[in-house]
Amino acid sequence: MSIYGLVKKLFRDAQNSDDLAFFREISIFHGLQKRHLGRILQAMQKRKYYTGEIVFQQGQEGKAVFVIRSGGVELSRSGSNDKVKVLARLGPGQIFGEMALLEHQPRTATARVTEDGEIYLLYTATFESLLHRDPAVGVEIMRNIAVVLSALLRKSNEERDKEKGD
Amino acid sequence: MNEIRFWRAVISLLALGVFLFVLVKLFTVLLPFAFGLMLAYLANPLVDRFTALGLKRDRVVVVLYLSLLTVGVVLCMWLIPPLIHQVNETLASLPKYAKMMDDLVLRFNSEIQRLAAPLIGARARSLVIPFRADEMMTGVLMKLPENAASVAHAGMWIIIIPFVSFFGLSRGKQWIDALFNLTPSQHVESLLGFLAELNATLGAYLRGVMIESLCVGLLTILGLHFMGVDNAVLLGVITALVNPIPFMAPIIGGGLALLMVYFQLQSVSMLLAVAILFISIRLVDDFVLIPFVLGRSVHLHPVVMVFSVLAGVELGGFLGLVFAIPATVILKVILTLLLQGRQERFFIRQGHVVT
Repeated sequence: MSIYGLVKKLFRDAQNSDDLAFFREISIFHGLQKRHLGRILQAMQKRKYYTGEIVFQQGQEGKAVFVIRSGGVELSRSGSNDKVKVLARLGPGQIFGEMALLEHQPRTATARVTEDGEIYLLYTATFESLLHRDPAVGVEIMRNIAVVLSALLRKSNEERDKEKGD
Repeated sequence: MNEIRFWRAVISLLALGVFLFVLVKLFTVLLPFAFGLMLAYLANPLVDRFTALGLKRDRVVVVLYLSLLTVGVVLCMWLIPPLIHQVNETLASLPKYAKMMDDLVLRFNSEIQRLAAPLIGARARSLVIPFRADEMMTGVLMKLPENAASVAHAGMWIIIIPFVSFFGLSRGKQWIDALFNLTPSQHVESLLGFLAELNATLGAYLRGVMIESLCVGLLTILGLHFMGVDNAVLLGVITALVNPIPFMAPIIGGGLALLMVYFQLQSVSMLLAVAILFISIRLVDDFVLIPFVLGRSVHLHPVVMVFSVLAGVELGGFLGLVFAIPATVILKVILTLLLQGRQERFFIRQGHVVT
């Protein structure tokens, strides 16, 4: 084995490589370089969640963005007539609470854990400071968020048109 | 529901009370551990830079320790011999300095008495500064065994601090993740916000103060060295060490330097020059170093700083003095977040956008 190979074997963190590969697949982090992803990963905390736990409540102030590492989460919204509507069921690699990155408004849905797993948390102010430190990364992430929101808007419009058609 | 909230508040207060009681009782034991964790916290961003590149954390920490050890050895080889020489020189000159100090106090006392005698008569004899440097020195020497025990205690710190900081650094964020796992899910976002704000404020403050103190110490060494003042390294190191305590660098560092110049040279022009040097360093510190290094990380009003320092001294003596500002910074972050939270909840209740 060469010296480079030995040093690489001694110093390379396989867990970190797995985490980076995982983050590269997340919609809002597409196109980011490894070192930028590494910095974002370091700014995140990880917490174990158990089935039935509430990650956040509708109406509560949003301070963080969440990325599901494993397990499942259900997003639901209570209407004015107390009727609960399930908006989405999310799984590993999916992000939620990302609206907190764009505007400081109350949460529009409740997030409940449907399957035990781990979730990454990122405080929005920390995320913003990371973006300010490297505006090129900020532009890339904001572009990705715009793409995600555009897709959601299109889907919502299509659903509305479909409802009108029915 | 209200009853549950009441008992929860009572239990929380009791737990806080027990925690503070244990903290006060074990304060001196916990101190080296706290310092070790603080060092780990300060060095963490450096380790993070390498782990972000995909390197194993524990290996990075080992390399960092070896590098710091090398730098430390080189620094000691460069700094320790002149420091030991200067300490020995100062110790050898102490009896001479004590006599000079006593002469100065005697002259001052007799001058005061001479001036006051025509005004208050025989009572002027009681106007004396009750200070005798030789008596003070004897007192210090009598306490030497006690001081030696303190030095031995500090010797344990040299082992404990690097040991604790090594484990603190190699575990990294896992400590905080464990804290999150213990926190009820409804409080996770608040804890995340608190820790992030604390990290941004306190981290920037502590790192900034370290760099600022280093610069102030170096400027003092260079300034005194070029003026030809003996023991410049010793005085610079003392100034750097007391610099984190507000207002102490010019008072202790400057005061010692002025005394040293008086004992060595007895020249008024040199006294003035040293005073100007310390005023200049203070100005450079206030207008260049602090804005550049500390930036806008901590906004503490000078009155708040004075109050917190005085409160720190009252509550914890010398250690209270050292920890007064960091404790105030933590308190400020907590209060800011609480008030911010109240404001946001108010706006949410009103149905407004939270800004």
